[in-house]
Amino acid sequence: MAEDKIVIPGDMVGTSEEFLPGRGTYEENGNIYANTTGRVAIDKRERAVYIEPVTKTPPTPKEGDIVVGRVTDIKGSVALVELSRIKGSLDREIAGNTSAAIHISNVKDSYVQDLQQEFGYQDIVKARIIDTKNMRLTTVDKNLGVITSHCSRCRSPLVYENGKLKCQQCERRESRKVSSDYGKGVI
Amino acid sequence: MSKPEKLIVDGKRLDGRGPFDMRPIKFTAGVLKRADGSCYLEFGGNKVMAAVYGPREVHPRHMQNASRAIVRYRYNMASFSVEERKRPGPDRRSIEISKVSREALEGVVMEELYPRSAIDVFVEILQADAGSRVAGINAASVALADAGIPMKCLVSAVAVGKIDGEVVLDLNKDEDNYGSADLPIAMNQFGEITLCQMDGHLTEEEFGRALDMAVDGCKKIHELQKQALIEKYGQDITPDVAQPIEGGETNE
Amino acid sequence: MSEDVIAEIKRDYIFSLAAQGDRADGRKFDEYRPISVEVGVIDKAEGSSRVKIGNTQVIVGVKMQPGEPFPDTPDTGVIITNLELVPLASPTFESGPPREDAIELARVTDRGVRESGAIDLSKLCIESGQKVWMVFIDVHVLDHDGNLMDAASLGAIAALKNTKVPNTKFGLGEDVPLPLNDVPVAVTAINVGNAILLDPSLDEGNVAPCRLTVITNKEGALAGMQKSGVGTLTPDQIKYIVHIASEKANVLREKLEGIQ
Repeated sequence: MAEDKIVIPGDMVGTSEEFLPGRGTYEENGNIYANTTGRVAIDKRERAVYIEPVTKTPPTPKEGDIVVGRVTDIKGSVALVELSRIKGSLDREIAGNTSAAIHISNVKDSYVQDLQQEFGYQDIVKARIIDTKNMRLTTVDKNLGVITSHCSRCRSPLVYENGKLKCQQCERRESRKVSSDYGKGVI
Repeated sequence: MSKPEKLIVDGKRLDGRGPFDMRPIKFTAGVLKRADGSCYLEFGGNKVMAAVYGPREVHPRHMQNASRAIVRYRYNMASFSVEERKRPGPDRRSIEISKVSREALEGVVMEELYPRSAIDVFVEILQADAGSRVAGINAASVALADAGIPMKCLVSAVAVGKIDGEVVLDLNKDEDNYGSADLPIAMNQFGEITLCQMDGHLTEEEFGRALDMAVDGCKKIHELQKQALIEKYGQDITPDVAQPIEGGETNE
Repeated sequence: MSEDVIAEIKRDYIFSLAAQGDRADGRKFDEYRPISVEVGVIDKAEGSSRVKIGNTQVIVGVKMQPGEPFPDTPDTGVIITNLELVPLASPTFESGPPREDAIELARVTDRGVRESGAIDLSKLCIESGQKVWMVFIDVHVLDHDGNLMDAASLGAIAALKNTKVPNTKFGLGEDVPLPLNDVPVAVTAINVGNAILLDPSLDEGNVAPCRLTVITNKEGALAGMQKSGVGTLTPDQIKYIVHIASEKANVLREKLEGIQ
C-alpha cells in the first residue's frame, strides 16, 4: 500500500507480516485494514502502518490538551470538573470520560491553603490535561484558571476589576485562580 | 399510476432500465453544519439525509453499556415525502426499519472503542420512492465515515424484486407496487450479509439469483460510497478506481 | 449539559462585541447571513422549498387533499401547519413528540400565513359544507444554526408560491396555482445589552435574553408578532424592531420574486 494514498474504512493497508497495526487501523486474519478515512502513513521506526485522518474524528482527551469544563464539587484538596469541550473541537462533544479533577498542588505556582479561595461551585475553568488515566488537570499557567464565575451570595456574574472579582449586584468581592482570559469569551 | 399490463417490454423495464441496472445514485458527504457527520443521497426518486452524532453521553443513563458504545438509529419519513401526507412521528413500520437498519450497521462500528457512550444515526427520508430503507443504510454508512467513527468497513444496501416473473435489481415505486417480491439486502465489504428481509413470492432458485444480484449491486454502491468520501476529502488524490460502472448510476 | 458551558463562555464575548458595535461573524446589526431559496425540491409535494439562512437549513413541503370544512366556515379551505425539530438537525434536539419550541415555531409560521390572508381560502371550496381543500404546510428542519423562525416562515411562503392545487389527482379538473393574496415575511431580532441584532446566529440566539419576531405583509402592515424568552424589551425597543423589521422584510421579499 502506497504511503499518502487516501483510504476509507475497510481498505487493506498492509499485512501483519510487514507492519504492526497503528492508529486508525485494525488487524483481522493477518491483514491490516483502515478503520478511518485518511492517508496511509508508515512509522518506519515502529514498523507500524497508521492512518492520518482527513475527516473530523471524535475528540478524545489527550495529555496536553486544553479543555473547558464546569466545577461540580470542591472537597478537601480536589476540585471536580465536568469537562465540556476540547480546544480545537468546540463544536463536538467529547467522546469518552468527562469527569476530571484538579488537585490542590496543580492549581497555581504558589502555595494554596484553601481550594475554596481558588474555585467556586459552577465556575467554568480552562485547564490543561496532565494525565488521561485519572483525568487530572492543571491550571498552573497565566491563561489557565477560572474564566466565568458567579457570586456565591446572589449568583450574578462576577466581573474582573483591578485584579479582583466583584459582584455588580451586591458588591461582594471574591477570590479565584483566574485565567488571563477571564470574561473574554475566548478559549 | 394504474397497473400497467406489462412491467417489462422487450427486455426493458418501464423506466428504460435493464434487469441489472440501478437507478441514478448520487452521494454527497459532509453536507450539514451541526451534525458530526452527514451524507445526502439521491437514489432514484429517494432523497435521503443522514446525520451522525457522537460518540456522546447517553441519556437516559441506564442505557449505558460499560464496555462499549451503543448505536441508535432513527429512520423517519417527512410528512411530505410520500404521495398521501404521512402523519409525523414514528409508526410501527419506521420502528421496525430503524431496528433492522441499526443491526445492519452495528456490526461494522467499532463500539468497543467508546464505552458508555452513544453513537446516534438519524435518517430523514425527504422523498420516498421504493427502497428508502436501503437508501437510508447507504447514506448512514457514509455519514458514519464522515463523522470519523472507527468502522471495520462501510455497509452497502440494495433491493432486488420480481416483476412480470423476472428477478430485477433495485425496484422503483411502480415496480414495487405491482411487483410480486421485494428483497432488501445489506452487505459489508467482506461480503457478509447484514440485512435480509423479503416479502412476496420467490422460488428457491429465484431467491438464489436475486441474492447474487443484490451482492453485485452492493459492490457497485460501495464504489460510489467510496468515491463520495474521496471527492469530499481527497481532491488532490486521483482515486485508482475510475472506470465507469455499467448501469444508470453516477456520482456526478 | 456541555452546550450551556459554551453558551456561558460566549455570552461575555457576544455582549462585549455588541457594546462595541460588532458581531462575532462581522455582520452589521441589521444584516442577514446569506439567504438562498430554492423551490420544487420535493416532487411528491404539491409545493416545496429549501431555504438556507447561513448554515441554517429547512425544507418545507405543502400537501393538499380534500377534507371536511369547519362547521362555522363551510366555504373556506383549511390550513394546517406543522414543524419538526428532528434530532438530525441539532445535538440539542431529541426524538419524541414535538416540544413546546417546535409547536411555537409552527404556530408563529402558521400565524403569518393565516393572518396576512396569504392564501385565498375562499377559492379553496370544492363543495360548500362538504368538501374543501386542506393545505398542510410541513416544515422539516435539517440544520439548526440559529434563527429557525425566519427560515421556517420564508420557507413556508416560498413553498406556497410553488404549490399547484392537485385537481387532476382528485378528478376535479386541471391543476392550478394555489391562489395567493399576500407574501408575509418574518424578521426576528434579539436584544444584546442595548443593541438590537437581526437574524441571530446560533450563539447569539443562545445568549440573548429574548427575541422578537415581527411578521409583516407586502404593504408593510403587521400580520403577527411573537416575543419569545424570559427577557424583557422596552416599548421603544419594540417600536424600533417593528420599524426595521418592516424595512428588512422588503429585502427578504425580493428573494421570493419570480418564484412559482
